[in-house]
This record gives sequence, C-alpha cells and structure tokens, in this order.
Amino acid sequence: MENVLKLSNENRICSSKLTYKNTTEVNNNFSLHVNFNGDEKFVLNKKKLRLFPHNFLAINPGTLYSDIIDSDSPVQKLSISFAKGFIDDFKTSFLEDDNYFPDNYGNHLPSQNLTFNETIFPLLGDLKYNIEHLKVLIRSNCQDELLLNEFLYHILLNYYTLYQKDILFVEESLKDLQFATRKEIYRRLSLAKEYLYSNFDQKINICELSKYSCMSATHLIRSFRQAYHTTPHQFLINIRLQQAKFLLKNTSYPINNIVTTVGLDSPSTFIKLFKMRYKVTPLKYRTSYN
Amino acid sequence: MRIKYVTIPSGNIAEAETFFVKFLGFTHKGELELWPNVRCKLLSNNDSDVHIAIIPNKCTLKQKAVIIFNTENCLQQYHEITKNGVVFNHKPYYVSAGMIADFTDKEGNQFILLEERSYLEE
Repeated sequence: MENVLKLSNENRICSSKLTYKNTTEVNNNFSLHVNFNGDEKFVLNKKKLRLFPHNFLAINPGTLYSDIIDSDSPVQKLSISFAKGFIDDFKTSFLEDDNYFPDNYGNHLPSQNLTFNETIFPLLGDLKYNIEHLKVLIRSNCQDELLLNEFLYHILLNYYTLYQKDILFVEESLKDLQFATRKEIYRRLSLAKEYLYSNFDQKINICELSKYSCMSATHLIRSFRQAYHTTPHQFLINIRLQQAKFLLKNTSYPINNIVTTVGLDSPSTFIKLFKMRYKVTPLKYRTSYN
Repeated sequence: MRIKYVTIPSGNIAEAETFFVKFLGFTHKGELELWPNVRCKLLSNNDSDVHIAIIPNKCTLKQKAVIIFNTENCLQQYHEITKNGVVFNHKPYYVSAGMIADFTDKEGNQFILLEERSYLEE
C-alpha cells in the first residue's frame, strides 16, 4: 500500500506499508525518509546504507539513489520531498529577522550559508513529534494543504535545528582547530556515525569503520572522543540499547532474539548495559508498557 | 482541548508556594517554562489533573487572566482556531515543556495552547 500526496506547491508526502520495493531514481528535491518499524536499504550513489526505526535519512537533490525493502512483515515508512520553492522560502524566512518568534528562543539559528547534510540522523525531539503527527494526518486522509504545509515547514525547521546543533556542538568541541580542518573532521565523523547507525546489528571492527570514514583508527577514536565526548564504541552501544528499547516496547520478541538483533553478544551483557543506561532491567521496562 | 493549568499571578512566588503547600495542602508537581526564561511553579492537590501554576506577576501586567489549554497537537489546534478567525500573538514555538501558541482576547485575557512533549528518553 502506498499513498502519495502531491501538494499544489510541489511538496510531496508518501506514506507506505510495503514488504517489497526496489526503485532507483534521481532525487529531484531535498527529501527526508523515516522508517517506523523495519529494515530498509538505500544506495546513495555508491554508498550503501540501512535505515532502522528511530533514525531518518536526508537525501540531497540530484543524488541517484535506490530504495530497497525486502521484508516478511510490512515496513511502514514516510517520505517527504520538499519542493525547491518551498526550501527557498524556508531559507528566506530563516535568514531574515523574523519577529514572529519570541527573542532568544532557539527557533531561530543564525546561518549565512544554509546547507543540508546527506546522512542518517537519530529521530529525536520535536522532529519525532511532528513526524508522528504528520503520519496520523496522512492516515486520516487529511487534504488540508495549509495544515500539511505548516507541518512540513516545522519538520524542515526541526531537521535544520538538529543538524545545526550537531555542527555547533562539534565546532565548539574542536574550536582549537582551523575552520577548514573542523569542517573536514565533521564530515568524516558524520560518515563514521552514519556507518554505526547503518550497521549496529553487525560485528563492527574499528578498521572497517576508520576506512569508511577516511581516517586512521587512532585519529578517528581521538577526534570522535574530542568532538562528541564519547568513543565510537560507546556511541555504538547507545544505538544498540536505543534499538533494543524500541523492540522491547513495540514487539514481543524474546530477550535473546533482541540481543542478537541489535548486535550484542550475550543476554547478561545486554541486561547489565541496559540497567546501567536506563536504571531499569529490560524485563521491567517491557512490563511497564504492557 | 481541555483546561490543564489555572494560573495564580504572584509578586513573590516562594511565598505563594509556601501558602499553597503549608496552608492548603497542595504538593509540588515541578516547574513549567511557559515564556522564554520564565518558569512557573506547578502545584496540585488530591491527584487532580488540573494544576495550579504560580506565575510571576510581571508577566501578567497587561492580562486579566491566563488560561492554559492542554492539547495533543498544538499545530493542528492552532490551525483550526486560526481558521475560525482568531489571530495568535505568535506562530507556534518551542519551549522546554513542548510546543506553545497563544492569543489574547479583547479583554486582555491570554489563552495558551500547550502541547507537552517529553524529551527525557533522549
């Protein structure tokens, strides 16, 4: 089942529930892809990525990409394609001094050079809420374009805020380096994070990760720690625990299955890590939602 | 949309809080940021879902009352009320409690739509 809603300003929202999909096309407009419950593969130019729940993928205009779903159970997803004119309007309203917003309130991040990053991000905060609301509106067959565009504007704003916060955090952490170096390190660390988000369920070794992110292993670990105040390994553990939490909450999979699904070795390690991170055992966490 | 908070303006929040807790048996329920850098103290009694919000007096100089509606979807509610002809003071915006939109009636009373969002799990 695939429901495509094309708005009169050329914005496009596609909601689907599919067990199989294999399309290749050039992405005409900037787009965001969210997957709510399954495993979806993307090939962006030559880069192979996998998208899981809790994450989203941003794809820039002009990128040749394949979107592949091959699953026993239907994968629910939402794709939003933002028309060029809509993005231009967003940039204009973003860069001008907009007095609609109260002062100093994070709705307005100054930027002279508005660019988007083509990678995987965690689906967090206001973006998660607004995407969920949009999903409900689409399911209820909402045709109110003003309302849908209002949501799309906020989703774009939330995405950009998330991206800017990530950049600013890294820039602050690496402030002793020159601007061009910081920019390049940010790009490479984004690749490393993308690899971890994409392959957390596999055995990951530091050599593969450093090769993917075009850095030596030592440089990668040092820069990652410096930029994000954590190691790639700890970052990976957090992704695994987040995904495990999602599975505990939304499925009835036995704990042992969850442990292997998220790429961890043993149930005892998983229980220990989960309890350390969330101050509750996996079983108690699951029970609290049933 | 339902009433969630009843606001009590006060020039001395600590004193007002003590009054509600000591003399009326209310309990602390936390804080809420309703305007940038302005935090209200939340109190309730008997596990009621409607809370008292003690707000700094300076915020209400021009308002007779501040009514806070709890909504599941602030943007949608804002859109529906706007379609009925109501002009909001701001476009919906984000605070640490979630998303907010507010309008003022002819009498100067302020109405706030609040969609509470939890960012704790992140």
